[in-house]
Amino acid sequence: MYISYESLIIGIVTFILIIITIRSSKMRIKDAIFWIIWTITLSIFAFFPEATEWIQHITGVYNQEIYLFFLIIIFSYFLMLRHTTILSQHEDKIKEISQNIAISQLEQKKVNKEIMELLQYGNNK
Amino acid sequence: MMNKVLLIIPAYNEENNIEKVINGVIKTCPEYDYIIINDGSTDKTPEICRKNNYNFIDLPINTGIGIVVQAGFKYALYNGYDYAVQFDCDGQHFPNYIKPLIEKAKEGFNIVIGSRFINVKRGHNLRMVGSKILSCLIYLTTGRFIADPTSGMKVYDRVMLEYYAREINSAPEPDDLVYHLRRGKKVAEVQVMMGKRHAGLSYFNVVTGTLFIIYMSISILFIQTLRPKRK
Repeated sequence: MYISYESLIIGIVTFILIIITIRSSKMRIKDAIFWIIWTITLSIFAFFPEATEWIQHITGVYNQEIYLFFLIIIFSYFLMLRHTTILSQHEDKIKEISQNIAISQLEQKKVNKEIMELLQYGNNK
Repeated sequence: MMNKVLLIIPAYNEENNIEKVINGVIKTCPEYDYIIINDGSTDKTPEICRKNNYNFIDLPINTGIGIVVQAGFKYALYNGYDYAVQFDCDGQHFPNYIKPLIEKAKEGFNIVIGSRFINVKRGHNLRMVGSKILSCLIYLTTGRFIADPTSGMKVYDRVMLEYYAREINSAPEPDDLVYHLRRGKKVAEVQVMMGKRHAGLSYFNVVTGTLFIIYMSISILFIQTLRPKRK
C-alpha cells in the first residue's frame, strides 16, 4: 500500500504540538480547531493516494514534493486570511475599549469634581 | 448555614425579554442574588437595566458567551459565592426550577444541569439530532449518559467557580463537560421544563448549528480526550 510518509509525519507532529499547547493552557480550543482539522485531513490523505491524485489532477501539480509544499501554501494562505480578519476585529475592539475607558474616566472626573464642590460648599456653610 | 447563590444572567440584545425575566427572577427567588452581564448590546438592554436599577455589569464590547459567563464567575469568586447558576435571559428558563437545582448541588455535585429530556422524549427536528449526536459522543468518551448536553441552565459549585474564573479554555459548552467528567467531577441532571423564547432570534440557524456540532464533535473526540486528567 502506498502511504505518503511526508504528509503523515507533518500531520502527526503538528497534531502533537497543538495538543501539547492546549494541555498547557496556552491556546484556546476555538483557535486550535482550524489546525486540528488541517492535521487530521493531512494524515488521512496520506493513506489515500486516490485523493492525492484527484487534487493533483485538478491543480496540475504532479510532483510529489512540490505538491506537499503547494498544499501547505494553500493552508497558510487561508490561515493568513483568517488571521487578518481576527486582527482587524481585535484592533476594532481595542479602539472600542480605549474609547470607553476614556469616556468613563471623564465622567468619573466630573463626578469627583462635583463631590469636591459639594464638600467645600458644606465646609464653608 | 446559608449558602450564597449567584444567578449569572448573560444578556445580548434582549430589550424585549429582560424586564419580564428579571422581574420574574426577583419575584420567584428573592433569597438569591443575581448579576446581569450585558455583552455589548446594541439595543436598549443597558438603558433598561439602568432605569430599573438592576445589578448589572456592562461589558463595552461584544465578547461571546464564554467570556461573559467568565466575567460572572469572577464576580462570584471575588464576592465569596458558593454556587453560581447560569440562567438565560431569553425567557426559555423558568426561575422556579433554580431551587431544585441548588438542592441537588448541595448533595455534593460539582455541576448540575437543568435537563429537558430525562423523563421527556426529545422531539424530531434538526436541533434534537444535534443534541443526540453530542449525547452519543459524550457517552462514547466518558461512559456517562447526559440527556441534555446543550442545556444553558446549569449550577456550578465553588470548585468549578475557581476553575472557570481563570482557565483560558473555559466555556460552558458540551465539550467542556466531557473534560470535567473525565477529570472525575460529579455531574448530575435534574428534570426542568423550558419554554420558547419570548422575543428575538436564536443565534443558531441551520448553518451555524451544523458548524457548532462539527466543532463540538472535533473538540470532544480529538482535544478533550487528550487533555490532562489531573484533578
